[in-house]
Amino acid sequence: MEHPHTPAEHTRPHPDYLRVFAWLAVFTVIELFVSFVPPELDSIKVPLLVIFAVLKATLVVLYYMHLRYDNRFYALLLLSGVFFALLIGRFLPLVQK
Amino acid sequence: MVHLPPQIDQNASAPASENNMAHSVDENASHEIHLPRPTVWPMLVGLGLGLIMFGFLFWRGSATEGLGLGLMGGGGVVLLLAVGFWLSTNIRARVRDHAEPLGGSEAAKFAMWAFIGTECILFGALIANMLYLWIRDTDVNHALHNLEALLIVSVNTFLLLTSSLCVVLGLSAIQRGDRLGLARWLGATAVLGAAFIGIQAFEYSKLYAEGITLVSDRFGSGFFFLTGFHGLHVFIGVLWALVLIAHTLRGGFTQADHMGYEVFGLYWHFVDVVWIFIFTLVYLL
Repeated sequence: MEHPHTPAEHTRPHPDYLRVFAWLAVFTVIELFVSFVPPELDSIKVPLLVIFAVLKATLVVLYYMHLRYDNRFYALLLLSGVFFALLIGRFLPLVQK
Repeated sequence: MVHLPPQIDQNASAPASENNMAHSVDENASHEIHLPRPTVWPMLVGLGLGLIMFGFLFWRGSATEGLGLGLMGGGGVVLLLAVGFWLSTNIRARVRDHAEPLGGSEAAKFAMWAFIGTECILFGALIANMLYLWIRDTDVNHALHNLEALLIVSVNTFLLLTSSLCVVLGLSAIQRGDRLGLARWLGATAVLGAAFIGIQAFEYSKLYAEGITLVSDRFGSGFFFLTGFHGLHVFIGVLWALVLIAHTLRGGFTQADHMGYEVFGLYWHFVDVVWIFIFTLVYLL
C-alpha cells in the first residue's frame, strides 16, 4: 500500500525532548518543596502549585504531543474539552449539595 | 465495497494546462479510496457498556444484587465479543481489502484528539470533585500528605514522566527508521507503566489499612474513583504498548508510516498530563 508522506514531515522542527524532560523534573521538584509551605500561606502556595501544574501540562502538550507544530484544529478540540471541564468544575458545587 | 471519489489533495498544485482534465482522471484511478463495509459492532460495544452500567446500578441496590451481577456479566461478554469482532473486521478490511479510513491515517490522529477532548471533561469533573471535598486537617488529608505518602507518589510521578520521555524517544527512533530502537523504547514504556500500577496498588493497600476505602466516605470514593480510573488508563496503555511491540517486531512501522505509534503517543502523554494535575491538585495542595 502506498502512503503519501509529506516532505514537511522530515523538515519539521524537532524539539529537544531531553530538555523538556529536564524542565518537567525541575518543576516537579520545586512543586514538592512548595507543598511543604505551611497552610497559613495558602494564598501563595495554592496559586503557585496550580501555575506549575499548568506549566508542566503545557510543556507536555506542546512538545511531547507536538501540538506546537501540528494542525491548529487539534488544539481547538483539546481546548473545547478543557473549557467544558472548567465549566463542570465551576458548577459542580450546585449539584453536590 | 463503496467507492468514493478521492478527496481534494490540498498540497497538490494543479497544473494549469489543457490536458489537466485527462491528468486528474488518471489520478482518480490510482487514488481510489476503499471504505470498509458498514458494521454493526460499534453499536454492540455501546450495548455492552450500557448493560454493564445498568448492572452496576442494580448491583448497588439492596434486593437486586443477583440481577445486577447477571447484567454486568452479560454486558461484559457482549462487550468483549463486539470489541473482538470489530477489531478482526478492521484488520481483515485493511489486510485483505486494502480499505483505508476516509481521510487517510490522519483521521486516526483526529479521532484521538477528539477522544482526548472528551477525556478532559471526564477527568476535569473527577478532579473538581476532589477539590470541593478537600478540607485541611482531616484524617484523610493527613493520610495523603505525610512524608511517606508523598515519597511514594513522587516516585510514581517520575515513573510516568520518564515513560513519556521513552515514548517520544521511540518516535525519534522510528523517524530515523530504527525499528528495533522503537521496540526497545516501547518496552521501557510498558515496564515503567506496569511499575506505576504496582506502586499504586501498594499505595492503595496502605490507605485501606488506614481505613480509607472506596466506601468509607465521599473523599474515599472520589479519591479511589479518580486515581483508579487513571490507573485503568495506564493499564490499557501498557496493553497497547505490548501490542505495538509485537506489531513493530513483525515489521509494522516504517520511517514514512508510523501514525499508529503517534496516536498511541498522544494517548500516553495525555494520561501523563492527567497525572500531572492529580499529583498537584490532589496530593500536593
